Amino acid sequence: MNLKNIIKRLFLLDAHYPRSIISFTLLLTIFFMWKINELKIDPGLRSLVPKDHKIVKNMELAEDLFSSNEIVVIAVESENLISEQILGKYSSLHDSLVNIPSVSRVASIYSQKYIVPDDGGFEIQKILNKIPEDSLETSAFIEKIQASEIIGSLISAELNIMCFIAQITAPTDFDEIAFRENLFQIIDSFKGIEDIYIASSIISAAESIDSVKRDMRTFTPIALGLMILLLILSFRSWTGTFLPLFVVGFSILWTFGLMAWLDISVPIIGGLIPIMLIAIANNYGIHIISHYYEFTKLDLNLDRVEILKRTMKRLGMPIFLAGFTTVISFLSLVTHELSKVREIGLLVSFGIAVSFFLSLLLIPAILILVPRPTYLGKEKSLETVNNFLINWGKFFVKNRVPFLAVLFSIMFIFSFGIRDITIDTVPDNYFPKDSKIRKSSAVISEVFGGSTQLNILIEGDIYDPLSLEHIDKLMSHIKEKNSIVSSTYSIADVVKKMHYSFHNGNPDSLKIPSSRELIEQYMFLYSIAGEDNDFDLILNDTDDPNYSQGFVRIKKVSTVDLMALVDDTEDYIKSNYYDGQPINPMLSGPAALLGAVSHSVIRGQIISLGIASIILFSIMALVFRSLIGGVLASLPMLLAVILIFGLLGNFSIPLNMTTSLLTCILVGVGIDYSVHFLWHLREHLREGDNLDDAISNTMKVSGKGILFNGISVIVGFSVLMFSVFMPLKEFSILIMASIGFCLIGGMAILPALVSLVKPKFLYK
Amino acid sequence: MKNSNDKLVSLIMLCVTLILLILWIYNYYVDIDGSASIKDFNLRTLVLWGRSNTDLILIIYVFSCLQLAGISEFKQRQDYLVVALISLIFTPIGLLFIKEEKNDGP
Repeated sequence: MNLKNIIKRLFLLDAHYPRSIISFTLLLTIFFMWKINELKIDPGLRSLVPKDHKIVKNMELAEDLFSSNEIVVIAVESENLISEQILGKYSSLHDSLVNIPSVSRVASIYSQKYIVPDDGGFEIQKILNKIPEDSLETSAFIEKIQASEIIGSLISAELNIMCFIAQITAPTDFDEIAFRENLFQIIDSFKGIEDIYIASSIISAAESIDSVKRDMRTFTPIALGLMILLLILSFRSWTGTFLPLFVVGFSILWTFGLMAWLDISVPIIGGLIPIMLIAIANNYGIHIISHYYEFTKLDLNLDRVEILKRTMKRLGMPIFLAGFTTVISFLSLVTHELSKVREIGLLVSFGIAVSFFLSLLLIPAILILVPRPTYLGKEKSLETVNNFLINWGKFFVKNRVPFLAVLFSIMFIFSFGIRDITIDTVPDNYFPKDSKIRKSSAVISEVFGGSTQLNILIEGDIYDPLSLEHIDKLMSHIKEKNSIVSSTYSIADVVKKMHYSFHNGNPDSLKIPSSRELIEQYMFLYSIAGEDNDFDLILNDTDDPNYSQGFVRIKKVSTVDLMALVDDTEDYIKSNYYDGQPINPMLSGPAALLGAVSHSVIRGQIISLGIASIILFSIMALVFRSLIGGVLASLPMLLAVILIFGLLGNFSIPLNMTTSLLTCILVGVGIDYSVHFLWHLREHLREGDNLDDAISNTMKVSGKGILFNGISVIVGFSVLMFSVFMPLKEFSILIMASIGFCLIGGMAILPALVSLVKPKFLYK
Repeated sequence: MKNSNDKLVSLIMLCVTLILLILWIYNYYVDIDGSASIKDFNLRTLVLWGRSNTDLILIIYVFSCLQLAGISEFKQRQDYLVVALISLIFTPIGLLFIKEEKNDGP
């Protein structure tokens, strides 16, 4: 049975059982919706990366061994910071932070200890034993601050900003939103004349989710409202306005419902699923309605079933091809390195397949039951739009050479921007520069060396002097080679400091002692003077550790620098510790993950785009049984891809998780427009039209569907430009540009090229 | 014959859908942290919900107006653009005052 027969049988089903099809669709929708309220949002970066990724595995190991993997930095600024009143007030903040369940430890001037050389040994002293009450105690406290080397890490050099570094245990199912609410509640109770800044990737992630939720709630109804308004103005009927949108609505519900049934959490980029489906999936319905109305106008005496039969006969194949190619373009995402992007690719493919089937089944079933708009009976209905489309087509056919020359020149110039594409996956940069979150990050970065941390998990005989020397060398290498690193901290620093203090501060002794026994003695002495949990973050066992954790604090986070840091550290580890001897360092922590994700974004983008392009070209060449046909169908889409990448580079819009999915929308929409145009052009030529008439007729019917669909999506998404959340704002600009380029591709480049080349495959 | 079968099958499926929908809504309200129940759903909670969800109410109003305008388009054979505007501006009650068109078009 060939495809035409299947489509014919589907239509017969529609004609005989329209009510059953409608009610069955509703029943299935309820089935998919059943678990939708159990859907979980997973905003974490880790959920994007496959579970077997080495950094994820290292992070899991680090979580098992140590009590923290993330930090939150809270800074307090006051002109009278070193005063009884302020110090007294914020000592309670320290206690409140310690009491948050997921906080394993808080470093601040209230808890920090330092090693003091003592006669023939050293002692461990707290920097702040008692809140200073008079000027003498204050001076003594300032002296201690200066002696303890906490300036720049816990207090600023001007002594006007102090910080609390809360070490967080954030497992895979960590609730960032609940944590942020808890933290903000505590911080709010301390608000006064002092300025309080908070920075952390956890807070940025939580803010991102809130911003996406808030903006989606505000802008989605406006966007849909604008789309509805445009469709009302275009079709002037309930069927033309709501049937394509209902199909999209059902496909969104079914897709999220499937996620709930399969227990798949929604990642932060999952918010793009409805956007992608709105942009692509209402296309099929719009084409059916547009053709249905046009066929009605051609013969007003025919009944609805007959008109629909003609419509489906004419549209079945191009709609199938458009749906199939779009599904293929999203399925190409299964080659992506990021597991969540792969999932999204599969889910959007499912959503598009649903909308394709519903367009073929549900829309005709409803159209059979309801009368057609009365205005179709009037002679001059839709005349303005038709004249516009015919003249539009004629203009590009007449001026094809100058148009194509100008277009290709612009494209050539624009393509130079591709070299300047930057990548940005840092959550802080999702917010405007003057936002509170960016300002806080800037202050904390400038004064305390940032709130992002790269963790180095080290396996080996930690108390072995050779191991400690290598740890020291590794940390020194990281600090010296990467300008974004503000400080490093490891067990080697502690041992060196103890050795130095033990020798009464002799500068020559600021090194790793050569004797293992001596190191063990230092640790024993420290354990007597200090507290049990002092080494919880850096040693898995204070008696005989075989794992240690080093920390690399990063000041100003840019994805490119972060990727360079991760690459450089990995290279150093590979070349020096390829056999795991004497230590086996492993990258861990959010910064390492961010670096890994960034690499995957770029690689995944290139590979999936390449695969999609090759497959789509092959399908089109096969369908039209011509290589020229394949080129013509794929060319507008490829030109649009070049334009979009050029736009990214020329306007400094960074490539991130959301923009990387944009090309899939572009490929999906672009190929849809090409298929509809070329298929119907060939039909008109087969019916005996000459090329000019065939282009005019194609523009009048298919062009109308393409135009209504494209314009409604562009106008709808234009409201997202008013979002304060940068990815949404950039995404709206890019999606409008993408659909705009696809419109130009389908309605200007193709008529111009076809009239210029006059390809033979169209006449076969 | 096919038509009556179609009506019967669709009626059965619609009834099942309606029952499932009621069950789904009931489960949704009972499941929220185990404390809230459908019994709490009274006029006061409805008003409170309305106050904090003005945007949703507006969306529901616009959506309902446009759907009722659709019914008017089919039943009274009106131009959808006109009835949609009447429904939005004068509320759907305004649709009751529209005279049915005699020329019912295609």
